[in-house]
Amino acid sequence: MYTNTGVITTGALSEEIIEKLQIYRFVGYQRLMLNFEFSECTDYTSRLRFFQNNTNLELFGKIVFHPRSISNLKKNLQKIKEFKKFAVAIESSDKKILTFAANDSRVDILTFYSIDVLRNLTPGIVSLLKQTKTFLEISLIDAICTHKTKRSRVFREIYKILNLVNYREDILLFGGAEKEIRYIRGPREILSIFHAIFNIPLQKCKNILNKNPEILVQRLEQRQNPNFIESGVKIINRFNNKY
Amino acid sequence: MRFQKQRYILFEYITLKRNVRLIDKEIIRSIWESMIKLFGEYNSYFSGLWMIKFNPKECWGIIRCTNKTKEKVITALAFITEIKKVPIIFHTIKTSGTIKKVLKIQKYFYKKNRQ
Repeated sequence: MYTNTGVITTGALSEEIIEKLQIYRFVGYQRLMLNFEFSECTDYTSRLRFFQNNTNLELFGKIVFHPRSISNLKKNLQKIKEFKKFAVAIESSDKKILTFAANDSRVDILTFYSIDVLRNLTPGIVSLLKQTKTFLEISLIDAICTHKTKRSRVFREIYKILNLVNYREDILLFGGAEKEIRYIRGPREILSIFHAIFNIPLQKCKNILNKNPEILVQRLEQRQNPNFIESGVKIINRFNNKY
Repeated sequence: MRFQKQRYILFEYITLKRNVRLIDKEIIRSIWESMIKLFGEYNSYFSGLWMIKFNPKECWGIIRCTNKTKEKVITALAFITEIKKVPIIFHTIKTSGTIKKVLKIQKYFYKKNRQ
């Protein structure tokens, strides 16, 4: 199942989003992950259910945090328990915040949609991501929107990051982050962009769009099970609990 | 000249403005432009791009290219965002080695969509 993990919903009417979802379906996606910007007063579950009722696509939700500082991030992460069905993503251009987020197992995804943010990714953060099995989400929107020299610079930056991640590790995700409908591209086209421009083997490209999102979705489903124990948690005296 | 294997790419498109009909020449020209922009003149002459069939009513077409440049041609299609100031989205449905199979798939695909 081809998955796009970065469908932007902020700043758009629900009718516009439904139209967008139809185009995603036309283009060949079977599963999508909707981005919801974090705010305390919004009811995400009902919003997600509304979109799920209006399309045939398999929809999942993702809450995106834009923390200003580490303390702000800590505060926000405490509220995660309420959103078990949603993936947790963090977008920031601060290296300290990114390092903290990469270390935290509650965070599922680090998103890097724009090139300015992508520049802050260091080998250290990538290594942490691999250890905590957190995903790294990249977008090609800057490459599609821009032209000439700007586009080649964008290519260069993405190429650097892909080399840094070493694409063999299964931590990459593709998030479209298309604000306008006309920039939506199908999974087949994205595969060929990764293959023809960034020299990634086709099977590895398929993992980015197909296998890695599957792992994320499985993780989300497991989390809803009350008996599920996260990896890294050690149980002491499970059967001898007298109290 | 050494024989090169051909590939036929079945694609469809949506224009985001209503009542706009594009002709095959405009589309193939924009694919060429995108190809030259991305991969340069040297790489794009290998591709041997040719429009085999085009249906402006149902918004689909078949392009022929060489075996080795198939991915590059699809990439060039992906980078086209507008033709004559009309926003457009290309979507490749299938690539095959024979026209016969591509046409078969196209018929099946549109039957399914109409249902």
